Amino acid sequence: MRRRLRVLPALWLLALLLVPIAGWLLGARQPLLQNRPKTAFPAITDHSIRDGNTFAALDGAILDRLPFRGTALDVRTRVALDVFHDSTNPDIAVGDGGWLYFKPELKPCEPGGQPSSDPADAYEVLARAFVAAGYRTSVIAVGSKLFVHTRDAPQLDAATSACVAALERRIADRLAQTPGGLTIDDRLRAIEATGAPTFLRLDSHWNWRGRLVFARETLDRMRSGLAEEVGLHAGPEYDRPGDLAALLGVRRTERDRLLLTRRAPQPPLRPGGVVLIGDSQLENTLLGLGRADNSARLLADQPWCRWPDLAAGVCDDALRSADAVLIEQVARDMVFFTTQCFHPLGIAAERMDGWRPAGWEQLDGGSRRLDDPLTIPASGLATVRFRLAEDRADTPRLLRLTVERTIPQADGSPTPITATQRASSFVSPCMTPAQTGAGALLVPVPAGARVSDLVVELRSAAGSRLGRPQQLVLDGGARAARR
Amino acid sequence: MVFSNPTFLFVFLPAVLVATWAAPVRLRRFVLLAASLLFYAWGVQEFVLVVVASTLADWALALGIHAARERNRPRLGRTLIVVSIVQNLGLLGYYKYAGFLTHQLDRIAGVLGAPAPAVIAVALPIGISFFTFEKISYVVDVWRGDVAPRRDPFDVLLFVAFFPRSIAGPITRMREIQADLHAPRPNAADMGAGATRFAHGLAKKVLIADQIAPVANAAFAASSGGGLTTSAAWIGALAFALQLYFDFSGYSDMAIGIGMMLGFRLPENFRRPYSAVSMTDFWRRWHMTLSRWFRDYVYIPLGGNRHGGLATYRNLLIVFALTGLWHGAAWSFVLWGLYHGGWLMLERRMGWRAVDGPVAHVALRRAGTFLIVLVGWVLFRADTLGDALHFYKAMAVPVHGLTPAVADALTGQATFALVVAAVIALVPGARSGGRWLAEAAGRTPTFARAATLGIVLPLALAFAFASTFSPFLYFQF
Repeated sequence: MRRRLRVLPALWLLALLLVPIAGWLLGARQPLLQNRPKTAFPAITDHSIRDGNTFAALDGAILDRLPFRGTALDVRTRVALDVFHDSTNPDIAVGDGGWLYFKPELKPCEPGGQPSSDPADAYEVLARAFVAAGYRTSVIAVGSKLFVHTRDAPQLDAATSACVAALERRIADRLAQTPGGLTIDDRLRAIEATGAPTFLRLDSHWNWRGRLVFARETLDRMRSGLAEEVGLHAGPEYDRPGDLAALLGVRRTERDRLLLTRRAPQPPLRPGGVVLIGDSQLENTLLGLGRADNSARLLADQPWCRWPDLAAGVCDDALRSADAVLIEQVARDMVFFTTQCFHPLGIAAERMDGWRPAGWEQLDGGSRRLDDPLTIPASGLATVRFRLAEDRADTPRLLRLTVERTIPQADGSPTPITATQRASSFVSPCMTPAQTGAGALLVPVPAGARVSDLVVELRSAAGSRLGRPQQLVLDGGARAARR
Repeated sequence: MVFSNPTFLFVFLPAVLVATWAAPVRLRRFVLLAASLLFYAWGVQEFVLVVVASTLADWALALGIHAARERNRPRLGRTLIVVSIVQNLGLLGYYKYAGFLTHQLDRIAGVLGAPAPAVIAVALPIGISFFTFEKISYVVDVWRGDVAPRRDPFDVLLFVAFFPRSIAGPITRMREIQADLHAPRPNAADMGAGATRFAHGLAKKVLIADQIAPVANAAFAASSGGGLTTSAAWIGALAFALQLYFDFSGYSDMAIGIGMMLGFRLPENFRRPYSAVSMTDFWRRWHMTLSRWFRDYVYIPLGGNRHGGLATYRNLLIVFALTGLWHGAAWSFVLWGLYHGGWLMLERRMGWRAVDGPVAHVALRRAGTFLIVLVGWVLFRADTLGDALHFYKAMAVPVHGLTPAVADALTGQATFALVVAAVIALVPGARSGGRWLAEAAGRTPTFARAATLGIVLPLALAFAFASTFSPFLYFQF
């Protein structure tokens, strides 16, 4: 008996170690815990067995499949979160009352995270461009939870926080004054000031209050009074899992409300009439919006694009045939916005009318005024500066260089013409980086910037030709060609 | 594979335990050998074949050395021992030091304007420093007549490859486990004590060392990037001292515990080193199997302390320079070793060794010794000598405030772990905590064992299982 008691600790240890395997044999399986596909088991061959990566992959594959890892994560997170109020994920900060915040919201002011151009300029140019192209436009940069629900926010790096807060403020103020621009941050802060949060505690998204403000505003921009017409309201409560809690490895829910409509719009929205471009804030708010019985979704016939889809050109045709566009992005992704906004800008520019001639000069080998199209010389590089009647203006302007001729490469495809801006007093926001075939290079000039400061290097195969520049003032008026 | 890796904990270890306990006694060593070679190959792949070949060479050379003695052919015996040592040190030298040496030659050539040799970059196989020393100890012990050579090559292979201590010790002598090699027979008491020991070691590693590590990492990263304040430097140094102790001693506890469960008694490696009353005492408590290896195979053959003061000091410096170099191929490690050697010399000269008889001012001596060791760890941990100097400067010259990265790293958990670690590490005692927990009798140890197995072990396993969790906010395709 005593001998059996002595061996008990070893049997207990063995039992604990066998729990995952035993669970697997009994049918327990590990769910997708990390928001990615499970690591595949590597092929074991005579060759692969000599590669350290094979064993690393084997490790990963086993780890992704051992049951009860979720339970282990839950235990670890409960200790960290509930006992020590610590985060187990470097991207999550724990605020007061268990409020979770996403630290990459500070990315735009961290080393290596700064946007290449002024994001306020980028948002303004894009909004004005779509207005000019005749769209009913809403462009919004969603304020970060850290700077909207501030009362429970943790103490993060003060300088970085102040920098991002100021940047988001500037973007919001600019959009508030821009035709086609939209901001709801101040309205959310006004609600927050009454003690009612507009964000979820365990999630990076708005709660029903925040979504209601956003939905009302954007629906009314699609069609005046649409929110009232469809009877937009906050519906019953439900338990919503938090995405930030999931990043900590725990499944925790909190009470939220559904947003519902009561009626279909009359007349119905034209299918394809509205293009929705955005991320999960837009998706969570508008895409499932409909009646309580799920019989119809309000925007079921309207195309919706994630930002990667837009960058890949998947939404181009939908954008061309729409009457209205809603462009939404969370402010923390402003770097991505500033590098990708050239693409929707190019689509909008296709519809613009009223281009006027502009001047330019070639700077290679001394300044030389150009009155004609530019042919790329043998060096493959042409450096140009633009000349407009007003060097500086109070509204943004758009310069267009039409591609007249490209030189085929060895495989027959056209050699792209690339445009790079030299360092100057401003960075052209949403500038087209490269163009081939039938298209144009677009060079936006933000409000208040001196065109004469803008020097652009155009590179391509010798003989490629660009038409003389044209300009369009983005003064908030429609400049759309008849369709 | 490391012991806190989920694949090791939840697949490999239970499989080996079950297979070993279930196997007939005569087959157990083959089960263990296969498991050990798989364990090592998991980390080093083809290099396991080099280890096997080198071990078989040592097995053959040991037999030859023994035969040479039996036939009264000392010169042949010496030749064979030299061949063995050269092949072992040659392997170690190539894999661990070739890059360092060629880098130094390149620098010298640069200064002299001479043609420089190509700088070699060789992947360092884990554990090579440990099993090289074990193989050397085996052959030298055979040559000295301290142990009989093993006729069965599988015994020697298992001795070298035995997975619980193949990559991080304890450095074991053949005579310590030879009785168990051929037919391991774990008894109930050892199995139980081994499980407790393993649980204790795992907790030290994942609940303490891993929680403290970010604090030390933040401080030492700041020393290279600038912005290290005085308080951050001292907190970082303390954090590293505790992290290193709990990580290394925790690993040793796990190795000893697994060994016991499989029927092997591995030697102790730590005995409350931060309670040492002198540097001499420290090296009788810290990584004991390494210091005894250097004592028996380098210091004593050099003459030890038998030829007067100057010779003793020379021997101490050689031993500790080599000790430093053994830890890593960098000048900072050599300097760290010489730092310790220097203190040992000073203690010997001034009569401060405090290892013979009662000691006065114990608390003061402990604090002083800990401080000396703490300062030395900065050299050990810093990435470069330059970083170490920056760190020392921050420690010595007041810079106010707390480095933000260190402040961020001092989470509630990390701070708690630091405090607990400091209390545990600095509490004096005759035995290590692991030994006390596994072996002591009485109500308190029994309660502590129950708490360790019932609460701490499941928690440590959960923490180990939850490590390397790295999710995406949105689904990645």
